[in-house]
Amino acid sequence: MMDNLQQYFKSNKAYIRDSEENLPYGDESRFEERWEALSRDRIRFRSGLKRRKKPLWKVVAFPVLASLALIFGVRFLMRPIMTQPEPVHTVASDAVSPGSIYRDYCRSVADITVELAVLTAYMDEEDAEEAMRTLDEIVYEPVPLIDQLEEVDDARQTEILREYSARQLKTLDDFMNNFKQTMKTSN
Amino acid sequence: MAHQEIIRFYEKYRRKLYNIALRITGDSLDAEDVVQDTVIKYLRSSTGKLADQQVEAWLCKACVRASVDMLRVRKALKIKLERLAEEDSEEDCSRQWEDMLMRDEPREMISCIRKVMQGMPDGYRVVLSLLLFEGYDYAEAAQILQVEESTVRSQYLRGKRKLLGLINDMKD
Repeated sequence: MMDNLQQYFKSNKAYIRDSEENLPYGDESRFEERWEALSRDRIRFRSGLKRRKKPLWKVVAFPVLASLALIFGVRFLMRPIMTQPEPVHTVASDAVSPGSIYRDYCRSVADITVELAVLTAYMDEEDAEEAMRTLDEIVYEPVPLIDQLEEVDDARQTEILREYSARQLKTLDDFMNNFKQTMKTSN
Repeated sequence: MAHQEIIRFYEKYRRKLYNIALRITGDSLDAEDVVQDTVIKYLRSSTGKLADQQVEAWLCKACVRASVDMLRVRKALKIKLERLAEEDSEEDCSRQWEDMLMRDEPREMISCIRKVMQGMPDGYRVVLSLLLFEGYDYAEAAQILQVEESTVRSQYLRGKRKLLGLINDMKD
C-alpha cells in the first residue's frame, strides 16, 4: 500500500521530468567513442573466431583415412572369397591376413591423425600446419616397389606389411612423443 | 542502424536514463556509463521492432538494473542496506511529511527532494529512488535489490525520515 509520499509522487509524475538534469558536457562524443570501440572489439572478436575455425585438411583427414581403410579392408577381405574356395577357419586366417594388417595400420594412423588434430586445435595456424605436414610426410612416404606387392603370396605380403606397418607406427609414435614433449616444455 | 540513427536514438533517451541512473548511483560519471552501456546493450540486442513506449520501458528497466548492479559492485550495497537498518529509527513520519508536502509547490518540492537525495547514503537513496521516482512497489524493489521485502519497507521508512530531517535542515 502506498503512503502519502508515494501517492504524492504518483500524482505529480509530470514534475519529475521537469526537475531532471542534463548529462555532463561532451557525453555524445563519449558515446560515439564507446560505440565505435565496442564495435571494433566485436569485429576483432568475430574475426578471431573465424581464424580459429578448423582448416579444411583437419576436417577432411579423418574421413579420408577412414574411407581408405574401409576400401582396402573390403578389398583384402573380398579377395580370398572371389579367388579361392571359402576357407574353413575364416576368422583365424583373417586375423593374420594382409588385409587385417593393413586395416589395423590404417586405423592406427587415423587415430594418430585425430590425436594430432586435437592437440593442434588451438595452436598457431603455421605450427599446426607444420605438425600435420610432418605426419603426412611420414604416412605418405614413397614406398619402392609397392605395386609389386600383389605379385607375392599372402604369407610374404603379410610379412612385408607387418614389418612396414610396425616401422611406420614406431616412427609415428616417436614423432607424437616428441611433439607432446615440445608442447609441454613450451607451455 | 546507421550512425546518425544511433546518435539520434541515444539523444532521444539519454536524459531520462541519465536521471534514473544518477538518482540510483549518486555519481555523474557512473550514471553516464550506465546510460551508454544500456543504450548500446539495447542496440546490440535483438529485441525486434518495438513501439516507442515499449522501447522506453525496456531501457528504463535495464537502466535501473544496471545502476543497482553498479552500486552493488562498487559499494557492497546489500551490506549497507542491512547495516543502515540497524542504525536509524523506523518510526513512521507520514504526518510530518504531510505538512512538508503542503509547504511548497510540487515542482519545487520534487526538485528539492531530488537534490537532497543525492547526498544521502547509497542504501537510502536507492530505495527512495525506486519507490518514489521509478514507481516500483516494495516487492519489485526487493526483487531488483535482491533483498527481503521487509528490508525494503523498513529501509524506506528510515530513508523517508532521514530525508525529512535533511530537508528541514536545509530550509531552516
